[in-house]
Amino acid sequence: MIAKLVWKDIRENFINTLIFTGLILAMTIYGLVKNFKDVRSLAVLPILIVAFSFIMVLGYAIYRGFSSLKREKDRNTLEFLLSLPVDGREIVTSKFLAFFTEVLFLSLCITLFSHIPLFYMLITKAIGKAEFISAVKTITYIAFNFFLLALFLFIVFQFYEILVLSLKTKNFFVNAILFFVYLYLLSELIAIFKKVFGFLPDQAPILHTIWGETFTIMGGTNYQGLAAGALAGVVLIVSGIILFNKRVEV
Amino acid sequence: MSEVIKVANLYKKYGTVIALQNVTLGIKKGEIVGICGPNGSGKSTFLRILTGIVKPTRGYVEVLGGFVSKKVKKNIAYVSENDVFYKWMKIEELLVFLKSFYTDMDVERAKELLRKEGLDLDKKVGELSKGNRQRLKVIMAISRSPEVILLDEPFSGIDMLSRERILNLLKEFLIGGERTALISTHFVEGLEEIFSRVIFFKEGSVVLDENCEELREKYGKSVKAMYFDVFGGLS
Amino acid sequence: MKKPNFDPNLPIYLQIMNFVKKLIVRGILKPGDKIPSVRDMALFLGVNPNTVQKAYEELEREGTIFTKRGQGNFVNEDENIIKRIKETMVKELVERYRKELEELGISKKEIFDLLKEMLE
Repeated sequence: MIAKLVWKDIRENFINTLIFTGLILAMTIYGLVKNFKDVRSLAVLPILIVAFSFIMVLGYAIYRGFSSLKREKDRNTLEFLLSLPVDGREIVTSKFLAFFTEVLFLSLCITLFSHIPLFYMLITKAIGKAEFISAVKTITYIAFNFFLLALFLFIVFQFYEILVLSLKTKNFFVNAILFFVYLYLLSELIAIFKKVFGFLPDQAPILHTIWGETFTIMGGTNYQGLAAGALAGVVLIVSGIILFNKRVEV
Repeated sequence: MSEVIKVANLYKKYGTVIALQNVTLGIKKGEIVGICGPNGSGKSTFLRILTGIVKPTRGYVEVLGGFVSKKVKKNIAYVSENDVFYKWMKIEELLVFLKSFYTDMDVERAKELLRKEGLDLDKKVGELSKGNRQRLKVIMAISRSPEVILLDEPFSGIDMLSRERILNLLKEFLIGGERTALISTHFVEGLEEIFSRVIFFKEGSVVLDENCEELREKYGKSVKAMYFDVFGGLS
Repeated sequence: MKKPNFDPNLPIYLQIMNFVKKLIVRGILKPGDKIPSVRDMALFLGVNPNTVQKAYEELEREGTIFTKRGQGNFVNEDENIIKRIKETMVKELVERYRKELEELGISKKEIFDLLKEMLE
């Protein structure tokens, strides 16, 4: 009953999600109010909102990925979950799906809120329709990539958490070393996957800002990178499930 | 009669601590078994392995004819010593949550029992006192019709009144049905009359495994008296 | 009928047998009466059904009760059975107290006189 588990997780984290949304909204309004006279500042605002918000979201993704199971363990509810007629597949994927839902909601909010300054500029005729549309495209595209990155980070850290729970290492330094080894191996794996996807166009999506500047997203991530990341994500989830079923206990 | 629970050469180690060793026994359908022993003797670990929460380091475990899989867990009820429910859930929400996993959960009966025990459906689990939380755990378990019920120290840390009430709930549930029950407890007063068998654990091993009536006939001792005999010496 | 307290140091099935016999002697269960099922008795007494089962089996072996297949357990219809049980129980009780009084050093004559006084 994955749905039940997902819903439970969403309810558990409901307050956090709300707080986040509130913060981002507050940031937006503050930025808008402070800068509504200066067009140049306003133009930067959407990017700033997206950047700051998503940095928070990425941090949240890491926190959730790493702590979702650990929190259950600390509160003895992991014992409850393990006694239920559910397997690791349901537990691991439900945690991911719950986070997916929340981060989707947050991403939509961020995208929406960052459009507010653009709307304002459009209405006050500070920018034209074409510029508006191009800016909207840019913002949405950036937000989408951050959304994917958040998902990826969650998966990466969730697997690490399962690893730690399985190995039952309590020593901080051992876990830290384990973490770096893990990241290294993961990056090697992604490099291999990139080669696998070598048939994809070797180009990064290019964006235009409202000032007519172009830049590549995420330090040059190209289609190969994105596909490799997706595959790595799937591999990590599946491995996480297998590891969970085999070794996680209370 | 077939064996509902079968373990052979069960061995469990946590790091350097040996929690269970050389445990081999079988429990038949309908037996009500008392599991006694001092803290750290392995009782909890034993029950947790049967529940599937803990995996044995070595050894064979079979419950209801197979490994403790998702399917088997549907027919097991486990009352943990710890507070395992989500503290933010209201009792009513917990009922709904459990019902979605256990089709044998009788929600009406649960509500009736909760009402009888004075537990408000609208209250959050975290707002309940320890005694109430224990009763909640037991009620959730006995509102189902599991083939096997495992209770880990259902009376620990609660007041006498709660204890009596839980005792009565359990007695009715166990004597009525054809279920197999394992109860790990320090308190045997009022409970040992319903035990058909008693197993003593000491430092991870089984040191006594007897039919209760035989215990009384052979040694003229109650389970409680036997307990003191086996574990009494303060060392 | 109050539920008896069982001494956990002694076999429970024997105590259940005594309980049933008491019910018979007191006339709460009459010859030919149906006695509660194993399950009902176990629930009432708060004991394991297997123990009740054993008690009933022993009672049947003794001839105190008999089983009608598919219908349950019944008290022996023979009136003499009750007499016999009563006698046995009384004798056992008296013997127990006579022994204890003897241990106190009280002579048979003293016991007899005391009893006469008390029962008048």
